[in-house]
Amino acid sequence: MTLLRTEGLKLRFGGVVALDDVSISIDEGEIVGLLGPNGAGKTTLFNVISGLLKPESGRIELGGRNITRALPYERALAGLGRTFQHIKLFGSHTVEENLLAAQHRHLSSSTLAAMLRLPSWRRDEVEARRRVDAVLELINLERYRHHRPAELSYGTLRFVELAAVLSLQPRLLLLDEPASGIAQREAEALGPLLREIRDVLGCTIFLIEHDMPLLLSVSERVYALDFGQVIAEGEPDEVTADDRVLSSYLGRTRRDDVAAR
Amino acid sequence: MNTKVMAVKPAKPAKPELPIPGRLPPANGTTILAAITLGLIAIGPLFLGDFASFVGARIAVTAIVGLSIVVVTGYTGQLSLMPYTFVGLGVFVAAHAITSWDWPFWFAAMLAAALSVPLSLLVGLVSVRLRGFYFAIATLTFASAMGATLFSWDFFTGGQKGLQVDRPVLGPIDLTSDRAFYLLTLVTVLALVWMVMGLRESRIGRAMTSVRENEIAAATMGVNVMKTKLVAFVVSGMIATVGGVFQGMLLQQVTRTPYQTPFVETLGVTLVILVVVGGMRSAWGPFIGAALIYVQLEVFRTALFLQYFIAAITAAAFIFVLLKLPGGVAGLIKHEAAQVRAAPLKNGIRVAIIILANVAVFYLIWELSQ
Repeated sequence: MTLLRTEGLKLRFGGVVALDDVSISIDEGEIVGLLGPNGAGKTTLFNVISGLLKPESGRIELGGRNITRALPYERALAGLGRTFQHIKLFGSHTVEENLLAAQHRHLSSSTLAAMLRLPSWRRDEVEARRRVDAVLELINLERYRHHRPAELSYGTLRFVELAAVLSLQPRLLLLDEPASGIAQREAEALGPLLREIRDVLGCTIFLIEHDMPLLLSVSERVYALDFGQVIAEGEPDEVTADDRVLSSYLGRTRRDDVAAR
Repeated sequence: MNTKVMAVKPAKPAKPELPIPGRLPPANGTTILAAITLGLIAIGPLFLGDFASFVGARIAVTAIVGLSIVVVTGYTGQLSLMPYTFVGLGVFVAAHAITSWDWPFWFAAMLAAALSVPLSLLVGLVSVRLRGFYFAIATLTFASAMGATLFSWDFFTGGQKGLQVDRPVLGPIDLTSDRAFYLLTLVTVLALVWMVMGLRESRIGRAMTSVRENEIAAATMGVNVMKTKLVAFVVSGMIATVGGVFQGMLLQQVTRTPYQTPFVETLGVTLVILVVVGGMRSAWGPFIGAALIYVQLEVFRTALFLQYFIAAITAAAFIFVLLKLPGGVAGLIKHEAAQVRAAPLKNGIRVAIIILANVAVFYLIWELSQ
């Protein structure tokens, strides 16, 4: 079953074409990679899918539902989770609170219930903490539960951010360079971890990654993007052998006038 | 079979039991001692007489109004400068409902809180799209607009001479005495602190703090940023309005002046300062801030030999808090409490010395000024 489908997404920043007729389709349970040189439009595509940027034309469907006009929080409630190239965690929250804060999709107790500490509030809180336990155990972060982001290394924060977005229990997980800034050893562990996340939580993963061995080993299918266009799609081996993909990385012709990202 | 399972998956060390939300942590000697001390301080004014009880009630009422700042500014990060517009609404609703219509005061408080909702929705729907300074200016402008309309209507505010607010009599408890009224306000503020703490530890409270930290990240985690700000503003308005009802009963004779010209009175700014000193992100912050400032005010009021230095001392103390205690005094207390728990003897003595030194200085000033 198709989980994410985009049709003819188009977006320009001034004179720069950031996305040009991007149509992709991702099935439920797949791990799909997105590759392309700097400025190809990968993060822009993520921003459009998660609603932070509005496309000029085109259509986005999540689980058969048209979400082209939905606000970012509505997409999150519909099951779309994402991480950022530059980590965005809540600085004054502990790791546990960061994970709790991501659970709006699953909690429902009202303002009044919280102020009067009614049973519905207590049920919500207990359930939320159980989910935190499960995610911390999966990502192996239990020992950092009460730490604040400022006390942790950048590599650990990458995993905390992943844990936070997982406690949203997304149906579709968009990861923007999950391995950037983390140690080689941790990057090597990331591949198996992403597969485990898919298998255990059943969420579909769409990731941008510049670490080619990681991207190619973890992805079942890959899209290649250049100048905002999909230039290749298929299994990792096919795509990396594609002439246009190779030239997009090696032989640049009109690179200098592209300032988009 | 059993041994095999054990071999594959070694038994984990027992995980510490998670605190159950909404329940108090298990009491030990230190917490019991702290609770008893705080309890004694809280009921102290009852033994010190009517005047001390009046000051106590003023602290409690200010703490209620300050709680509204905690919700909207401390938790949600939006600086509202119109708390005293809501207070004014509460004050005059109390005047009409309690004195003219002879309603019980909790009924008046509920009516006032209900009436605050359309006002905060009106302001909120316009200003939640704004951030930071723009939000602050919008609220101050609205406060000014309300001063020129609602608080200028003589039938609502009683004109120049103002209105009377009676303190109610609850069966055998006569709230016209300052001691009884202090007890009532103390119970009310503790109940509201408890409610705001519950709010903080909930889906909504976490949405509020997420919005404060990073609106985009909050939205991608499923938080409706606009709605969260609006809820914070409405809850804050209701708390401030309830505070207003108690403010009316505290003063008994109320006039419109403080609410009519918010640009001149800047009561809202004073309140924010008080809450920042106490600890803006803690539900206890306004209570601590109000206690510090009003006790200090009473101690210094009669200290004539200090009168030229009071402003400088206060300014120095305030700058110290801003530089060294970002969490306010509430943050300091939390930090010191953790230290004492870690090493009860060493840190306990140090904290006790600090507290005694402060009390001694205050007592000395008090004695010298008599």
